Amino acid sequence: MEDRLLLDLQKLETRYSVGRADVHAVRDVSLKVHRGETLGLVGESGCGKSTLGYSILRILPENGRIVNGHCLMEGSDLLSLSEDELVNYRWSKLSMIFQGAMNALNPVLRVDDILYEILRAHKDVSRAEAMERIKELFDLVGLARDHMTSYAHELSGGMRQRVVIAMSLLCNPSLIIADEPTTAFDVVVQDQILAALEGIQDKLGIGMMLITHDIAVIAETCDRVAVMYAGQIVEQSSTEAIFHAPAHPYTAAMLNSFPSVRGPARCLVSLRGAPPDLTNPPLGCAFAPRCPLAVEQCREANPPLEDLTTDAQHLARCYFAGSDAVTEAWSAEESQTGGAGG
Amino acid sequence: MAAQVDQVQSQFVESIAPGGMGRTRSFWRVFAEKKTALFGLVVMLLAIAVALAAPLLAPQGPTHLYDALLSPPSSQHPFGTDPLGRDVMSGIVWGTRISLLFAVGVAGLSLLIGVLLGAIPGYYGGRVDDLFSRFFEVFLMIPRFFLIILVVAVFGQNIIFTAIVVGMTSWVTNARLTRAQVLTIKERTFVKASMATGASHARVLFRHILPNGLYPVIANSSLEMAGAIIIEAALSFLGLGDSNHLSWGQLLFSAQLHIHSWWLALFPGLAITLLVFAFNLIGDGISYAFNPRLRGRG
Amino acid sequence: MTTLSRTMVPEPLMSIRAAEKSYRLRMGFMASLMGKRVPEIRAVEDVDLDIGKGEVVALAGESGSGKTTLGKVLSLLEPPTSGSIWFDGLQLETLSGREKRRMRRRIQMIFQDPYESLDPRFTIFQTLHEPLIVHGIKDGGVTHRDMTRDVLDRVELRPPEDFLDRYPHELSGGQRQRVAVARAIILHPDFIVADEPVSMMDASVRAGVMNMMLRLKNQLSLTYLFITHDLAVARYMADRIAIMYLGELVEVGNTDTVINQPAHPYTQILLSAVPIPDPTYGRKRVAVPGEIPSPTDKPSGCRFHPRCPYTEDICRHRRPGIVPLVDGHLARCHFALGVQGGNKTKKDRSAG
Repeated sequence: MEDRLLLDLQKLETRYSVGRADVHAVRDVSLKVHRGETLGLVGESGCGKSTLGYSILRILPENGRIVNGHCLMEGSDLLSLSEDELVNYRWSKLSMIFQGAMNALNPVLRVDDILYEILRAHKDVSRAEAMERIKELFDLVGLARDHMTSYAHELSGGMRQRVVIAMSLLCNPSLIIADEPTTAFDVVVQDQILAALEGIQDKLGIGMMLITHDIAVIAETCDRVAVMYAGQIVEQSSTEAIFHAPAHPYTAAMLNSFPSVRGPARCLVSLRGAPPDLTNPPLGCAFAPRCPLAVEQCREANPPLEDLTTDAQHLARCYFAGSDAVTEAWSAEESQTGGAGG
Repeated sequence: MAAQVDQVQSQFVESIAPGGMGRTRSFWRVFAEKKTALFGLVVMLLAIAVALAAPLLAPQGPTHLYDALLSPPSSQHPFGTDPLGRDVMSGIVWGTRISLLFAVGVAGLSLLIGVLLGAIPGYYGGRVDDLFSRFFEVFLMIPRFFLIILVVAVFGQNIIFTAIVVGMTSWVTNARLTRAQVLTIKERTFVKASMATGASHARVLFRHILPNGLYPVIANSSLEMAGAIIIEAALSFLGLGDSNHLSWGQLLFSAQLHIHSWWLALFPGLAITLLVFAFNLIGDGISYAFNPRLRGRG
Repeated sequence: MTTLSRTMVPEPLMSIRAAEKSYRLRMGFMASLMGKRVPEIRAVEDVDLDIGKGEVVALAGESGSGKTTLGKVLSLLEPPTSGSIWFDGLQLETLSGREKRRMRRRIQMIFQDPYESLDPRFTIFQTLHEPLIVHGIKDGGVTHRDMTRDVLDRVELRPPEDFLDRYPHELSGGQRQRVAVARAIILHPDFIVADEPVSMMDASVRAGVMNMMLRLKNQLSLTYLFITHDLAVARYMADRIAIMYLGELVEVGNTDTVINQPAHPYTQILLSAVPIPDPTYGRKRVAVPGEIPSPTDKPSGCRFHPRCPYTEDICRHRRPGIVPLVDGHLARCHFALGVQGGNKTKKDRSAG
C-alpha cells in the first residue's frame, strides 16, 4: 500500500486574513491519496474543502497563508518548496480542475490553441506532437475531434468542462484535484462528465481528489471518502463503510438529508443552525451546537481523530464514534420546534 | 433532548471567501479606507464651514472698500487687496458661498432631471427606451457655451440663469447612468419578487430600484459639482459672469488686468483648484466604495 | 395539437390549456430596415396541465425546458403569448390590471436565489411588511408587526423579534429563504409557485426548508407548483410530477408512477442519469447522444427524436399527441405504452 502512496498531507493548517482577524479555514487536516484511488472530499459550503485544494497546489489568494503542515509527494514537501521548484510539480505531477473553469476559457482562442499554449508552457513540443496529444485527450474524455477547432463559446457547458478535464491531463499528472466538477450542470450532462472522469480513472490509473458537496457523486465515483466540517476532517473511510455505518453524527445527518430517486421514501433529516465562525474556532467539537448527542465533554475539548479499526481504515472525530447512538441520533429528528432555522 | 437552540449567526460564514467575512462592510468604512477620499471630504466640509461662517470671518462683506489699494498680502489683508480696495480674502470667503451654491444648483438640477428621464427608459424599455435614447443624443448636441452666450445676451449676466442653463445641459450623463442601473437592477430577483407581490410600478422604481442603484449617479454628481465650479470660473473669467455676485471666477476676471499683482490670481485660483480637486476625490471615493467587488463578497 | 377532453384532476385549482410563451429577440434598427425576420424563442409550447387544490406538482426538466418560464406565467409575472390559464374559475389572462393585482394575493412566488430575492436595503420587517402595504391590509387589532412575527414563527425563525430588524446580509442562505417563504405566505395565498427554492442550498439546509414547506402546505392549505431540475427533490416533495423538454410537457403523472414506470423515453433517460447516494446501487448508465438543442432551432416532429433510442420515421414527421395511460398518467410519445412496458425495441444508434 505504501509504495502506491501518492500524496501524504499532514496536519495542514491554512488561514485567511480578513480585516484584523484570521479565518482558520483548514485546521489540522491529514490525508493520503494513493495511485489509482479516488478520494472524495465532501462537506458543505465553507467547510474548507476548496481551500484545502488550493493549499496543496499553493495557489491561495493574497490573504491566504499556510500556517502549518507538510504535503509529501514523490519525496518532496510541496509546502516548503520555492516557487521555482513548484513549477516542476504544478501541472506535470499535480493538476486541478477548477470550479467554474469551463466559463473561464479564453474566448479568443480556439480550443486546440488553448491546450497547445498550456502544453508548450510546460514541455518543449512541436505543434504536430501537441496536436497528437490533444487528439488523444479528446478521445479520452469523450469529445469529438472536430471540436478541436471550435471556440469555447461554440461548445456547450458539458463539452467545455470536458475540455477543462483534458486540460488538466495535458502533462500526464499523477494526481488531479477536481473541485466540484459536476456542479451547475444538468443531470444528463453531469452524468457525461462523471463518465469521463471514471473513464480517466479506469484507463490512466491516476490518483484523484474529488471535492464536492454531493454525496451521490461520492457514492458512485469514490473509493475512499473524507468528510470535512468547519475546517477539520470529521470522518474518513472507504465509501462503503461510510455509507453503511457512518461513525460521526454529522456524516449520519448528511447521509440522511439527501433525497434519492431510488430506494424507500423516507423523511429527510434537517440540520439546524450553521457551522461555527472560524475566526474564533471553538475549543470543543465544532459540531456540538448542532449535535443531538453533545455532552459537556464535547463542548470542552475537541475530540481527536480516532481510529475505529486497527489499520487506519476508518477514522472519526467524535467521542461517540462507532456507537449505535450516532446512527440513531437522527431518527427522532422530524420537524423541529424551536431554534432558528438553518 | 434533541432540539438544539441555535444562536442567530450574525456572521455569514457560508462561504469563507477571501476578503469577505461580514457580507458587506459598511459604505463609510470602505470610503474611509481611501485616504484621498477622506481628504476630499474634509476639504469639502471645510468649504461648507467657511461659507456658513462668512459673516463671522469677513464681517465687512466682500465689497467693502479699504484704503489699501492693490496691496500685496499683509497682516491686515492676508491675501492682499484688489485695485478697488476690496479685500481678497473676504472675496474668497464670501465667494465660497457662490461657488458651492452654483455647484449644488447645477448638480442638483442635473440629478433631478437626469434621474427622472433616465429611470423611465430603463424601466419600460422597448420603444420608449429607443425614443428616450435618441432624445438624449439630440440633447448632447446642444452647444452649451453658445447657449450661455445667448442667454447672457438676452437676459443679461445672471448667475441663476447660467446655473439653470448649465444644469439643463448636463443631465444626460446622469440620465444614462440611471438608465443603465435601472435596466440591470430591474432584472434582479428582489425586484421581481416585489412585482410578484403586486407592488405598483412607482413603488418598485422608487423604493427598490433607485435606492439600490443611485450610487454611480451620486458619484457623478460630485464630479459635476467640480465641473460646475470650473465652468463658473471660466465664464466669469471671460466676462460672462454675474458681477452682482462676487465669485472666485469674478476675482480672476479682475485679476487679468493686473498680472503682476500675483495675489489677485493666486488665491482664487488655489481655492478653485482645491475645491475642484476635493470633489473629484469624493467622486472617486464613492465609486470605489460602491464597487461590489471591492466591498467583500457580494 | 391535442387538448384534453377531460381534466387530469377533478376540480383543479389551476388549469392550463395550450399555454404558449414566446419571446421575440430585439432587432437592431438596421436589421429591421433590411427586413430581416426576428428569431422567435418559443420557451413554452402547447402546455396542458391541471393542478388540484392541496397538491404539490413538481415541474421538472433541464435547462431550456421552459419550466421557469411557465412558472413566471403562472405567477402572473408575464402574460402568456396564447392559451388560457384558469384559476379557481377565473381566466387569468383576461383580467384587468387591477384584477390581476388582486389576484396576486392568492398566487405568490418563491425564487431560487436566497441571496438575491430580498432587497438588501430593507430590513426583514420591511420586506415582510411590503405585501401588507401593497394590498392595503388593515393595521388594526392584529398589527402588521404581529403578522410579520406570526409568519416568521411559522417558518421556524425563532424568536421572531430577533429577526425583524435585521438585514438580509446578517442571515444565512437557509434563513433568507425562510424569510422568502414567509413573505409568500403572509397574505394567505392559495397557490405558490416555487422556482427551484432549494437548489442553491447545502443538503442539510435543503432538507429543512423542504420539510418546512410540506408542513406549511398542510397547515395553511396551500397548493404548490414546485419547479426543480433535481428529480430526487421532485420525488420527495411532489404528489405528481410533470416533465418538460424544450418547452413542451412530455410526461405527467403520479410521482410513483413517473419515477418507477416512466412512459416517455426522455423521462427514462433523465432518471437513469441521476446519481444514487448508495455505493452498492450499481446504476446502469444510458448513453445519450447529443445535447439539448437550442430553443430557436427545435427539431421537427417530436422534439426529442434526434436523441431518442426508439425513434422511428413517424417521430421525425409528426409531433406526438398526448397518450393517456392509466390513472391520469399522460405521455407525449407515439410509443408511450411500449416504452413504459419495456417492450419497445431500441434502435441501434451510433452515438455521437
